[in-house]
Amino acid sequence: MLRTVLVLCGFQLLGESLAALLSVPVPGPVIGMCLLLVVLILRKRITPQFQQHCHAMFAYLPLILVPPSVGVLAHLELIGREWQPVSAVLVLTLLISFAVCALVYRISRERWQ
Amino acid sequence: MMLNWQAANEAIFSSPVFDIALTVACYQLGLWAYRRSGNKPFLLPVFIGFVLTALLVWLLDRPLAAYELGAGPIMVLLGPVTVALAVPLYENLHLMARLWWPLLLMLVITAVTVASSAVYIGFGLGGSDALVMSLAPKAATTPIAILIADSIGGYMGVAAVVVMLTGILGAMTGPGLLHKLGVQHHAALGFALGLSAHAVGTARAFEISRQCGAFAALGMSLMGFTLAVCLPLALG
Repeated sequence: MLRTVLVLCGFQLLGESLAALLSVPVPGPVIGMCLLLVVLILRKRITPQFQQHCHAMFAYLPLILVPPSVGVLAHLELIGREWQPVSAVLVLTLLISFAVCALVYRISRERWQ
Repeated sequence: MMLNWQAANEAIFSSPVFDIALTVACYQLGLWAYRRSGNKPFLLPVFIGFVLTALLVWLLDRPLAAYELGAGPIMVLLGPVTVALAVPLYENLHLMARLWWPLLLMLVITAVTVASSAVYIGFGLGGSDALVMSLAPKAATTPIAILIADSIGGYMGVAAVVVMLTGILGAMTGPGLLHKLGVQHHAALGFALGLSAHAVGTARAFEISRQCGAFAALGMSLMGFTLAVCLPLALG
């Protein structure tokens, strides 16, 4: 497990330093994820243990997301004031997303078979 | 012997593990409710956990800064777990082999229309900069969306809640809507669910079929990846 943690932290640090080095606004952990993906693709294999540990971590992902969500308490006034754009974006973009997916599916239908 | 109740009370609230215990307890309650309900999307453990934790923080009159400091050790894990998202993406990448053309087309068109319509509708209805930047990454999975929101000038908390609600709403309405719109193929149905409703949509897709779920997981990963790289460069 410690090796997995070290690898993940290493890639995150690499990502954060690359983002700073190139001064791009892409989040460091995301660049770390891209780098890890490239390494996995180039190696063409993944250590079963590493794979197992990552999935074990995903089981706790929802818990990790609770504290940042609680941060919304600081913005309740903003949401109350701008509830119209919030609810419209929430509902409309979801409908648009499904409609666009369906449209693309229809024009490329024979390719899916 | 004098019992100092006030000191005992203060010891609990000033303990470094108080906020961690509070968060884990609320999340566990959410997990319990979710399982008892037979996995209803609106009883998602993260959603119930968030609502209960926020409610308690508010009722206990605990300053948000104190809670965030206390729960910091949990939040730190967000980075390494985001890096680990490369693993499911790598595992599902082979699904692209035969279908790469329609998948890529659906990914790119959906990513562009959803992100730009979120920005246009948000600004169009008078949303402020910070609000719209919190809404723009809503099609990405939560860990990625809050990192994007933070890097383009939005609020992590607002993004987290909006993404959660998108997932719940999308998982509840998606399969029915997509079916009505003529999407029958399980690969396409799953991919569309993953693109539109990320993790909750993926969980729903796995209930439909294994193939549907695998393509949803691929869609969610690719959408998160695409938005994470493109949004900060386009809006940052």
